[in-house]
Amino acid sequence: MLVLKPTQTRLAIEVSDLKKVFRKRDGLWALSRKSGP
Amino acid sequence: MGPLKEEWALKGVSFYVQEGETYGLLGPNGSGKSTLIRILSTLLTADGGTVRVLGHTLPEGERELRRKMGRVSVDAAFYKKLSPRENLLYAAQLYGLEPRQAEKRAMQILEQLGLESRRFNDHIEEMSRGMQQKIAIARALLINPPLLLLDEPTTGLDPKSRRDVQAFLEDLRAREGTTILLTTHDMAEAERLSHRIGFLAHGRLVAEGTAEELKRQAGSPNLEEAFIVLTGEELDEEAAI
Repeated sequence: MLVLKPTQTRLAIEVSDLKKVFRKRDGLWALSRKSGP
Repeated sequence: MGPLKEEWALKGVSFYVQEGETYGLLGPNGSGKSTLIRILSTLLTADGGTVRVLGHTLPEGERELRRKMGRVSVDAAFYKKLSPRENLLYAAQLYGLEPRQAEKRAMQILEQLGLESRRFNDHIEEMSRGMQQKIAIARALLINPPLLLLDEPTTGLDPKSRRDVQAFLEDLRAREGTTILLTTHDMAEAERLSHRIGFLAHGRLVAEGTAEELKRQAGSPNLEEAFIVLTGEELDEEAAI
């Protein structure tokens, strides 16, 4: 099993309660800036 | 005009990755893996929650973050009429790297990944998917990023190329301490490469831990069965859209 060294405790990625919704109308993606799939 | 339909790709996901850690995200098609990677790599903006990557809050810090992170997608985009060498040098210029140093580094990475140097000047369109994926990894590593986001880096590769890529990632982590977030359908790959693994299903992170912890939690002898027990779903082998 891989084990991290205890000195490596800083966080590179922190994600909290992340949500993303894609919207479609008449089968087409409703796009706004960087909102598409 | 018909009504607006909403599809929630991510429904409140929380997790962290430590510096130097490799975190594997496992989930079937449509579970939200690629959406999550696209948000972390600044290609999509979130509709809720908070994201901090390498100390930068998104989306505000996206310009700074892009200079520090490498990303490889399941189907990397290239200028296919150009050679690996030309594609990598072009990317190096976009990063503002000194061309000679960038070329040296690119060639070094490609050799480490097992790409024969006589192919460096062939058109990319003449190359197998395995070779193209290795070139995509080399491109992501041009800037020696502290963070690598890998969206199914070995999906569709032949067994030899898959082993080459996995061995390279293990070596990279040992040598550079690179933080890696990867998505995969391959249980053995997740177990081999990841310190911790998260199971994603229907836009939610339903379980996470080391491979051993997940197996224990599910009372399953292997990770595949643990996935089915904890998510109520099976992983399929088709490439994600």
